[in-house]
Amino acid sequence: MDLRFTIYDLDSSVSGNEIQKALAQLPESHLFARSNSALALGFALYSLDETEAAVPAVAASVNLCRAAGNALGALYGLGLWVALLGQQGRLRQADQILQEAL
Amino acid sequence: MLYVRWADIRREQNDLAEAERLLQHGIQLAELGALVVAARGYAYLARVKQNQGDPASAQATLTRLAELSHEWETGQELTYFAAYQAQLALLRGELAPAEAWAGQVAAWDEQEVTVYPREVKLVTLPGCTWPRPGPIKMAPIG
Repeated sequence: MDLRFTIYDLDSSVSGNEIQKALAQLPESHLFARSNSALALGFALYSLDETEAAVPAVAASVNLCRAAGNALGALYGLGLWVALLGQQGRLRQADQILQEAL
Repeated sequence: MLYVRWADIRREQNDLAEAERLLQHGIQLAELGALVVAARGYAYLARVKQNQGDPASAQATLTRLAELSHEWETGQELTYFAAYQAQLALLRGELAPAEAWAGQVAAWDEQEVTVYPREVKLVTLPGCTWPRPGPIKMAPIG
């Protein structure tokens, strides 16, 4: 398994299925590692301008980070999530997420 | 970080008073250690002050941003701040500094991996090439 390769090899054809495939290589019990990997994948999609794919990926990573007690990851993921929603003009949703988080 | 992000969402919604309150709080927290976040907060605050019709405070905020970041090495945050300052210059109707900035940046850089500096740059660049009669008047939304 080389998850790093999977992350760096992302291109414009990357899909949610491929994210799930990469994450599937980490055991369910490795919750903290899975949360960080999910966040890295979300950030990679964001960096590749794959905004539509990045939003659900980052949202899922925030949930994983919360479940894993990964506070720093959850904080970073939330910031990225609302930035993406802002880019899409989904301001009310971003506002709602932040109200609930803070 | 989240307060600074939230403030920018509120600014987009034209809730400038709440944006300012969130920024003051976010900057206060970030100044304790997250200086990149604090600097981003000052950039956003300058925009809010400009939109509130207070260019003097906007300029003072940009001065604080410059003080905070002047020893940083060249990087994406500085690229972002330069684009943001050019955008504010356009809002003030000052074309010269915006044109100077536009003359130094490539419209599209394949090596630019992070999206947000590119986004501000691409939004700002067209304004540098279109002649404007004076400062842009900000109208309330809705």
